[in-house]
Amino acid sequence: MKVRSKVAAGTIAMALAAMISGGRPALAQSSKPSILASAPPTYLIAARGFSVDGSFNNTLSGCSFCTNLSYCGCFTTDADNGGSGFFQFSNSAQTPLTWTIELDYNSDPANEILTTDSDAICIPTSGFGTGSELSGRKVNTFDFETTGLICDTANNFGTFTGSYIMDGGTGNYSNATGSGSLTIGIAANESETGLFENQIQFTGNLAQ
Amino acid sequence: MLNRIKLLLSITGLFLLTVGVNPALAKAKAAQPTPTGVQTSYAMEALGTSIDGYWATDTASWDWMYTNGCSFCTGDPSCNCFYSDSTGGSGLFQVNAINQYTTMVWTQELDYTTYSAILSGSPPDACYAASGEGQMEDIQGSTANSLQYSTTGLLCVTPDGQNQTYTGSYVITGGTGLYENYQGSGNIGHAIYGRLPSQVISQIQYTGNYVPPIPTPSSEPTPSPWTDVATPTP
Repeated sequence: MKVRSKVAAGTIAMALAAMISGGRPALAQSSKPSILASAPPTYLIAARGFSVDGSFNNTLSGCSFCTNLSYCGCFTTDADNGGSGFFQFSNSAQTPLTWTIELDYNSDPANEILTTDSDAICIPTSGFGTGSELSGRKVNTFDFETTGLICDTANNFGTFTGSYIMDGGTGNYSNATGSGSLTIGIAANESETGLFENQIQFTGNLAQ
Repeated sequence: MLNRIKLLLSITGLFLLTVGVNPALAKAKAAQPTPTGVQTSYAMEALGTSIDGYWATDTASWDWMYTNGCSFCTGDPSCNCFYSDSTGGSGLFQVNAINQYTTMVWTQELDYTTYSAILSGSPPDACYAASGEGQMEDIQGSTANSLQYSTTGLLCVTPDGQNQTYTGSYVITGGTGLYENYQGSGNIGHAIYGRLPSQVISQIQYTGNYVPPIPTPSSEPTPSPWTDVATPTP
């Protein structure tokens, strides 16, 4: 009887300690965000990915939004061929994500923005893409458009700094609207393949 | 019996150490000291939806009188701006990614001039350098704490020609309540759905950090408790 009391007391003490120190019971529900009364609920989303086969297309064709073929270029990249992707909705666990994106730009010198480095420029960029979240056996996709700036860095790397707006989807996200920030870091090409490793990150919100 | 108690105590101690509770006599290692001279910085994230955004401009009358619809350009019909807020919409504010969300009331104005148009990556859609200002008001129970900010960035029409996105950064210019004298900065992503002619739906997202005000050092010299203590001799 005494041992049973001590076991019970120990259990209570451990639970209290875990709660005080920030540990949460495994079955505790994630906190629901509170929102203003008349608004549709919005949820934080975050996604990131890695690609090993990004490529620039400056062959004056093959880019979706080119109207001036003399100055057309685009960068396409995805999670295929050894890339990766992760998607997180609100406080839920991360799920695998496959993704693809195309970024188009008009490299007319009149459209280039000089940076402080003489060899580095920025160009306004527009594009679109798709993310496919693999949630168990279910696949939920979201389509998005993006605009921003693609820039050379001072050491021949590249970055895209943009924002995106969701433009349709399937599954759980068939009626979703959302937006946020989108960044891509493009490593310098150190191989003869013409492929660029790159990493992508989405942060934003989603309303269903 | 004694062994059982020892076993129970050992398991309890191991568990407490695992979840991060330090023994009372352990050195204070959990609280990492802030490097001298470096202020604590807090990550913040906020998001919101607006259902009543609208575009405005400066309009001319009789070629000499203007109705200035935008704050940062006066008498300039090439000036355009986009207003949005959380009235009827929504707003959430979160500090340090682990705290509870709180309600946020927000408002923002983005100004740009059509003279600054440059081709986007999907011609003939354009991008514009844009500037603006706004406010995030974090409502915690009965108290409201606000942050005012200025923002600059790029506003572009998306490839479908219907929507816009704004990619910018912000710097905190003022605050009230808990955030009085705070400093901070971060990114803004703002998507504007242009499908409704009169009421434009938009979504905004802030990510960034802010820093509490740096305490003013006291003009009084700090008394040292060691002043009168003689150096111990071996």
